Amino acid sequence: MNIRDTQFIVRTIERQFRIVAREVQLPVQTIQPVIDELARARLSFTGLNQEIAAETDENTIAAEMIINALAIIRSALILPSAFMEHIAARADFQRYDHSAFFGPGEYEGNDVPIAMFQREEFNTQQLDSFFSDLVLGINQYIRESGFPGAALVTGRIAQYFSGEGE
Amino acid sequence: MALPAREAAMRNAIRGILGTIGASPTLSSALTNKGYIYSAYVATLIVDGLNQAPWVLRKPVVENPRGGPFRFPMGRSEIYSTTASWFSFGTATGDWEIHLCCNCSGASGMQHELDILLTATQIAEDCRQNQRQPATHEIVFLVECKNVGAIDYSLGREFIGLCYELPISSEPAQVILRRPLWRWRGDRKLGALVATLPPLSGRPSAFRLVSARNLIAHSWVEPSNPAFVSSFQRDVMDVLRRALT
Repeated sequence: MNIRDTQFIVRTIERQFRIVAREVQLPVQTIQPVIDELARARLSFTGLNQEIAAETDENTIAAEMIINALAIIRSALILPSAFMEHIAARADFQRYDHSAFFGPGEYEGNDVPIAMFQREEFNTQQLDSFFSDLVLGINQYIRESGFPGAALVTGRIAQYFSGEGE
Repeated sequence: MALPAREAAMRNAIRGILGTIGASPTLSSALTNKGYIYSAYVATLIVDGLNQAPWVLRKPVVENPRGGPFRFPMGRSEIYSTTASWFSFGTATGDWEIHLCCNCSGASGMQHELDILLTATQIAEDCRQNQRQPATHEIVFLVECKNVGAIDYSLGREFIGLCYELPISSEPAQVILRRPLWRWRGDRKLGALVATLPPLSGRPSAFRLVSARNLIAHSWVEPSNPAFVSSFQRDVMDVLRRALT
């Protein structure tokens, strides 16, 4: 896979996020920073890798660029749920201020937020599962697009997100 | 516009992610605070470790401003700020506090935001009374928390630079009365870089760089990886036991 193919895939992911955000009526200010971050990473990654492309296998660059996009999505959209769930589940922190997470003002004047935060279902497992689906979906997209080296690229993407660490 | 069939699985997954987030006001708001929420999470891991450590004689408690509920800072703060909570605990050598997202001047005089810092209660009290930031050598232990996707090598360099800006002293923190001789923080391993994702494979690793300078470095520290979380907690507790007892 060459850099142009890879850029196209990452732009497709960005476009899908924009379209679906409109569909599910997510406020634009909620998702736009993530899309901007994806675009920034794509551009800087492309610039950086054009310099090293001569000495690096293009499929490796392709895999890293897509992994980078998925990593941004995971950090911004998937993990906050897990952190919130962990914090909310801790007995020691049963009384803390909901507005610390919401920003002041939204729930002022009553004690409901604290109770709500303890009760709230963060759907962490569901989000994890959707993220796995996204990794599979992107890998399927790469395979079905018939890019050369697709198997190597999809293998690296799957390996990175398997949680094996360094 | 008709959706190409090969994009369908990708779009369905994205619909699931954004639909789930859209259904939770907390998660929607969390998107803009993902870094601060990660620092809050890592702080709870350290407090969990302290709770189980036999050398911690007074177990961690939360100190809330003006008797209010617990409040994690969701933005830059000062150690003397009255808007954020902190943790306090005690060991045989004294009392200690853990603060989040606090500003501190480095050795150069430039400002840095420390995601998590540990200092002596005596020093924190002095900071609160005199509305001052802790001095570099008064920060016993610091943690940099990164939830930013795949970690670049440059983040390792940044962390090394931060630790150069925040040297430790050769004397115990609770008895410092004058500017001490500065030492590299790694001499006593008193800094940690912790992140949610490892670097891209085949790239120079920020974590290896940080470890090579004798500081703590861990990736995959997140709720779905209990083994990595435990390893991080063990390393931090080992360093704190030596520094605080």
